[in-house]
Amino acid sequence: MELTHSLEDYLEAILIINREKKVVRVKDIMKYFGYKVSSVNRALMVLREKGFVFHEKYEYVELTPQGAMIAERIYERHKLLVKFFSKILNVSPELASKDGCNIEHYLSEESFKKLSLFVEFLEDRHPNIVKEWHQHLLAETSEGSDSLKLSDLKKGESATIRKIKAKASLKRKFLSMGLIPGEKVVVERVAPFGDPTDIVIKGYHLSLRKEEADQILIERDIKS
Amino acid sequence: MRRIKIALAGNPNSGKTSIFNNLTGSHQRTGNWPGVTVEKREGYFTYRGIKIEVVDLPGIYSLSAASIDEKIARDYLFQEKPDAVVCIVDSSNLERNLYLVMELIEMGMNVVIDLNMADLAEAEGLEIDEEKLSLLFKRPIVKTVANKGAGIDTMKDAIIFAYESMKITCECDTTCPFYSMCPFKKSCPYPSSTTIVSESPFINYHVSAENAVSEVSTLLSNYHVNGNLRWLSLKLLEGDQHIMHMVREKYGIKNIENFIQTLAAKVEKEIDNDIITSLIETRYGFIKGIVSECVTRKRRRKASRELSDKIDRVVMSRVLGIPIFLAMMYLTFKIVFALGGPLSDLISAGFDYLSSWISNLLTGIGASNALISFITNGVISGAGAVIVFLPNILLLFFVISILEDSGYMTRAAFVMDKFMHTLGLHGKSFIPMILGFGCNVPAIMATRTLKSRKDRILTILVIPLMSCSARLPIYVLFASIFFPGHEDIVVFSLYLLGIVLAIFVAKVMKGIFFKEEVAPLIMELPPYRLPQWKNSLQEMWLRSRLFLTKAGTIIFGTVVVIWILSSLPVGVEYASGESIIGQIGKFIAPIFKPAGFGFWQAAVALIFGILAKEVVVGTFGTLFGGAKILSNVLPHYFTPISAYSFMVMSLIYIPCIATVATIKSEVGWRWALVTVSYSLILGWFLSVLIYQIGILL
Repeated sequence: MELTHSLEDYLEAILIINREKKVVRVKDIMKYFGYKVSSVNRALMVLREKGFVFHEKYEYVELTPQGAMIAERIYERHKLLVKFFSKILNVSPELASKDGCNIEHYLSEESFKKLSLFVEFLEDRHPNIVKEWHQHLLAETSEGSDSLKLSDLKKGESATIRKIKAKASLKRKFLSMGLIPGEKVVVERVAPFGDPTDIVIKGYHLSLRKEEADQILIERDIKS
Repeated sequence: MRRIKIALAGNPNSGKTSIFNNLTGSHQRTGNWPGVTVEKREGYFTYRGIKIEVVDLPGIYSLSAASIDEKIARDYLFQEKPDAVVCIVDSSNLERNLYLVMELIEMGMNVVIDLNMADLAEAEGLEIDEEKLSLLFKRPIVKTVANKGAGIDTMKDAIIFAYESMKITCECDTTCPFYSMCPFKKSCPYPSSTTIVSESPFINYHVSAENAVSEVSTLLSNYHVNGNLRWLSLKLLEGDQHIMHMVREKYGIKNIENFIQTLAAKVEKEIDNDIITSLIETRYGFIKGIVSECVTRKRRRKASRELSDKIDRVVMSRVLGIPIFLAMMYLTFKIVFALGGPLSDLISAGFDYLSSWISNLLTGIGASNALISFITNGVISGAGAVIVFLPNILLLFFVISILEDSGYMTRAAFVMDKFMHTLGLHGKSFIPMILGFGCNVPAIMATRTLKSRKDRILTILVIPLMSCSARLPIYVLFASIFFPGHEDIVVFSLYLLGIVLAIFVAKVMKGIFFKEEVAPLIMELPPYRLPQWKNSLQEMWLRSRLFLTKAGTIIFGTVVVIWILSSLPVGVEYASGESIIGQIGKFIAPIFKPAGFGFWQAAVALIFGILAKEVVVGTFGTLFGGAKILSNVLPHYFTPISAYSFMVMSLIYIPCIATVATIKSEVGWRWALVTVSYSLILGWFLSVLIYQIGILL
């Protein structure tokens, strides 16, 4: 009983929506994917024919026990993969979710089980190894990611200054005000119109415009 | 009496002004630093029979000469070589504040370190071991709480000690009057006098950097360069363009730029870091070491900062930031104008009364009409024209000083900066522009809160386009005669026109005068503090006095000149068509023909409007035989279209003489002339445009 990846995604989506809202309407599925009504209806028709969903026109969509089984399987894999990518590999949440969506369809039962045990093993029993690995990761990748700037940080995020990339006089100004490599910065808040930004450095508040914050290269601190 | 000369240095918000006021009391004066528009304060005090002259340097974070303030401070220290420099340090933020101390010491200054706001540090649970700090910096240290006046006498002792220690033989025992502040006590490395100051180097940099420093020093000494060569070499290696220029032009080291570049490249390769970063990092590293040795944190809570953060969470929030700002602006505006207005009216009435009283008195003793007119219309109204601004200006500087000292000013700038920056201005430009709706004179004085010259001048140039309250009588007169029932829309359109033009003029002026200049926003948001009444009052008085002496003279002079022009040749009726001013009016009237008001009375009214805009109304009254019949007479001269174009002209053309004089005294003749010429051209052009389009429709 082979299903296309897209149909598997539909089952997973119905499961997720169902857990949030109790009932699932065609409209919810459209909103979830951003698809048109025609494509959603077409997919639902196929799923109904194959016996994975109950669905009459203008009524709620429901998973059949068979459909629910597949949906659960895909969703479990999705959660595990996102956790692995974001918590262990320190990939950004958006990217972790995207990669999870792609790989979830291919992961064999055995690999899934073993990966699940691996993540559990690291997180619960050896958090220090994870920490050390993150430091290693930072050291190895920061040279390559030349582009992360202070202006990329959002409110509440913190980072370590890596380098000041400004012309001599401005560079002296930044450095002499304590914005030196290795120093920690926290973005406290952003002004109502979106600029400037209020940061905390060496225990005091400093406001910078985006133009200035662009010239300060940073390393994001890994949240643990 | 012996005299010594000292300077006060320190970060902004370190309480420097408070220390200055405490030291000098009422013996102080303000002016500008030569050639620039930055405020300079000087004063003196006498202590132990020595007259100590104090210069208050602008608040700075370092001597890197990145801003005009830093350049002024550095040039002063370098050229004037004060006998001692007191560096005021905010004890609750030691690391960053001590950076300036380091730079001053490296420059070879005779530094006294003042740990100010000692109470704040204590409240935050910081314990500072002064003795150790003093020993590590090899400089005397005093603790003060400036806003309570605590520690000031000790500071005076320390200043004299720092000065004397360059010459006296150190006794090194407890009877020495300076024993308590001597950093060395009995372990003095200079048992037989001589200088503490020239002892160098203070810190050692990376060995490659040190080699480079000695190479540059050698070059400099070969060319007989004066001054602290180590410091100069360090600055050159940091890429300091001002020092580079000086060395090249004054000492003729033509290849200095190449020499430094090659050397810097070599160092950078050896240490695998850029040289500027490396040097400054080393200084901060040194400070960090000292601080970790001398400061212990007893408690973890930072009480005052926490309160400050709590306030900021509201005051700078996305939702409430703007409403709170607008409310503060409204309050400022109200205090300055609603409170100041009645006082100004009172002063006006007082001068009117004085004028008629003297006029009666003079008539009684048989003085000639010309003399009476000169004294009443010339001298007394001239003095009145100056003093009438005083209530607004006093209140303005009081409010501004409270906004600044409390820390709110920087928050206001933070909230508004994005909006103002898109217009090419600064977040702090907003406040002066709002004040401009009340009166342009205090508005221009309020631009003192702007630190960058570019931001300040651009703001000053557009302030005259804000319709001040003196223009309202003109609008009301014409709108009520020519647009009855629509007065509000007409007046509102003029206010709006002014704002639109301000945006336009700011853009154009930036393109003409400040194309290359960028003024980065690197602004500290200091913790909120309770402003000190005494400080604010002193601030208010000093700045207002400057207005009276500098702008006042010009205003007074102009009033007298206009009187002369209106009264000559002898025997003519005051300001009539036969007087000189009437002749001038007749001469220039044709210029305004394309704008729809090419008759001499309008031209004369506009000339009088230069004295103060509302005088335009009074002049029409005089010229057309009384204010009461204006509504019958004016329609013979104006159509609704030409009336509107005349209002536009009144809005834009030459701001009143008080405004021009204030611009001159704040930023110099050049910018006063720029304002006068652009406003004349823009005003004429727009009123012609409006009239011509109007008659076509």
